[in-house]
Amino acid sequence: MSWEVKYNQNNPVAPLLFSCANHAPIPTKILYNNEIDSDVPSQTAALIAKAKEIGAGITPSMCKTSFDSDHQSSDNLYYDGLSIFQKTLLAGAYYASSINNELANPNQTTIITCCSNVIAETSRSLRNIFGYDQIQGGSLSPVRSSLYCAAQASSSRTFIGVYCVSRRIVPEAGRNWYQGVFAEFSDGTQAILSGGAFYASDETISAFDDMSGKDPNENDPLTPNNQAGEPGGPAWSGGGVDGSGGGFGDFDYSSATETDPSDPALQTSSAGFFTVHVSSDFSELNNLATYLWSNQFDIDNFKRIYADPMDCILGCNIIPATVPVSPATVKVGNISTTVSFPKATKNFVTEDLGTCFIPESKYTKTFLDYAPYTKCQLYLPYIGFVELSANEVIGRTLSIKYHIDIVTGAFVANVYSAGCLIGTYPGNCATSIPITSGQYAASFQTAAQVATTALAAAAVIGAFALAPEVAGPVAAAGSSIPLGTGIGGLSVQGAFSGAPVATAGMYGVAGAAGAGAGLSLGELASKGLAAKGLSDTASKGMRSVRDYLTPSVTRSGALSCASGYLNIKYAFLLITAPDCAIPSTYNEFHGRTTYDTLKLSSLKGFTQIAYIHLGTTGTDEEREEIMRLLSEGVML
Amino acid sequence: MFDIVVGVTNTPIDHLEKDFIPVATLQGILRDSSSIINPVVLIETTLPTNWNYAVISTFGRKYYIRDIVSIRTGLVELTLHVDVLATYADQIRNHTAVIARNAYKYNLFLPDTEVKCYQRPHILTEHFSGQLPPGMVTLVVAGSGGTSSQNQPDPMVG
Repeated sequence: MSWEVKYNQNNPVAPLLFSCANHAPIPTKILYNNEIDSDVPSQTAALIAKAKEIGAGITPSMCKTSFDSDHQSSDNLYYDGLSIFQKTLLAGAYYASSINNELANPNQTTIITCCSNVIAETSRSLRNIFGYDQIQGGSLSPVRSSLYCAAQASSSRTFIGVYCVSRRIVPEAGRNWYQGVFAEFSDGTQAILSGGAFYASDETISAFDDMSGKDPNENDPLTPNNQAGEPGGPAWSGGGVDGSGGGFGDFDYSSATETDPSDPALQTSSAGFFTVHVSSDFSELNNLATYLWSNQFDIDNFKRIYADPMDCILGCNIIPATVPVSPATVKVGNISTTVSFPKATKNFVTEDLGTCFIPESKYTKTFLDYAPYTKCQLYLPYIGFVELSANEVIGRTLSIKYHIDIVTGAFVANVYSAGCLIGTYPGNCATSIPITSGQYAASFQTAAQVATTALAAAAVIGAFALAPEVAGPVAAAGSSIPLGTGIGGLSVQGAFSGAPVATAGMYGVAGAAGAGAGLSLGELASKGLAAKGLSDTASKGMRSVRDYLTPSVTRSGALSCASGYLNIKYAFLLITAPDCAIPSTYNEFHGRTTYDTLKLSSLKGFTQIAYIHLGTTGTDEEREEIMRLLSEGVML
Repeated sequence: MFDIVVGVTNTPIDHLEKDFIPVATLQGILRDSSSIINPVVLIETTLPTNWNYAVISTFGRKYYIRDIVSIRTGLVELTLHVDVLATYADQIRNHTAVIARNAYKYNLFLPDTEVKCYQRPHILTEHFSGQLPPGMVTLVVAGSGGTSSQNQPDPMVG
């Protein structure tokens, strides 16, 4: 196999990619090899299965009009009644099912194809289903769509490059059929930009040179970034908004990528002063205990060095991690035992808590989906709730990784939004198993501290007045936790006894607080709201988004150690989004926010002017009246 | 003396242009000290005076009729106020402006502080795809012990 660098980093495709998804510049190479038809990413089989599953109920009559071999019929797909997502799936599935022969060929790349008009929506939706890696843009402008797709698909990772692995001449069509165009990402995955069909004429390819700096989806009505002046959109020209407008919040992708740190090279367990044995249950520990109390253990020899065998036990914990191990036997105080107990080969491990994609279109699809109107709180195991900005959540893929030291239980939870580290939270996930008297005391002390901290946090919660519906579910959760095992549980299970107290304390008080009378003006004022705005709103008896800045609610206290062990082990987002009341005639009577420069003759209906330099004839008094009326809003 | 077209409009006052139904064209004169913006016009008519709009082409303006006072039989006094929107509609349309709000061209991702919200918000949860493993027992012992008991490939625990 020989590769030829067809285009190099200087090719204008690269800036095109950056412009369409606001990514930092990446090297772009297009390679081709006339002898190879395609390239097969490792996930092709999964895609085939998924495509067949979706395509099982699809008949050509359902979507043939929405899709043809040249990917040209975008109008039907967009306007045919079904949602864009449904139609796109149908088209993609039909296409996938219609080329089973190709799919069955392990040397054939794959395919969900959609039209440029729906490419933005599709890429956002399908990447969830197909794990980002199988999205193809076809249709009217295959190059643009494909590249845009790739950019969309890459929103959670860094581009390495884009490659075209083969080119087939299609004489009857007079075009080249490029296959196996795919992108490579920093995490080693690949995204297919175009699989089975990527028709492009020589003119199209040569047109790469002419596309530098242009918006690859400039005709896509569903691409919010097509807004003039927005990142990825055309240069600001003072126009071009429509009813579907929008953007991607204020999150700047231009330099926002951080790769997850690799485990430290220096493993503390390599120091030679201690050894970490790991077991998935207590069987090995039981064997060791049995051994130590048996006459097989050479206690006389041991006592020449130590007073108590337990002096050699530095810690015994339950750690929520998967650790690579090697077979070993335990040595206690340099005294070999016959007890088999696997030994950890590394003491820093990484746990992936997965991803969570919050589609921009899932909620109101307006500014209300973002901060400060929508609040996002992230529950992290062993940490509790932390506040995130909705601007960094909506329309993004969040991912979480825990970097855990299995010796101490200390960990750091890294939260990424679209590949950018947006939060790092330390904690401790070691649930201590008391073996010695000293450990027992320490465990109890830790649990008591947790309980104290939680109760203090609950007191803070009490300072706020939660809306009942917010506190209700939380209180309900709290009530399900037995209080009876609280402080009184100073028994052998002392290491765990603090947790129910802590949990019940923080939730229970939150519930009680939830029975409060809602937000007070004072609290809202503390958020910097203008008194006039509040009084205006109050006088109207309605709650405006202006005063929707609800106080932050602390939902948990210290949730480490045993209390974390007793709680939920997965992460989730708790999203509090406003429920807006839009009367049916709101747009007609009052309009929606435009904030754009437009000629009045191009408008109709209710129009309110922000700024105008009025140059009409008439007296000053008349001009002033016109200005006043326009600023109040008129019907054009 | 000038012509004044009186009639009726049902168009709301905030519309740039009004649907005007003329009823009659009459002769009018200005009262003393009338302004062109708020003129007071005397007309002679015996017609029912259920008008609310007037056009005086001599002034190049359209007017709302704010008040109608009968001075004596056959003589009516109309108090007018210029309809600046309708009078200058064409000129206004030719202007370019920064539009704050519009009924049809808007961007929903721009904050609209006048939208009202119900007191009760939506509360939703979105789960992450993975989770922490159930846990494993770690025993940390002093020393570099832990001899390999078998020559096996590394298993995974947890």
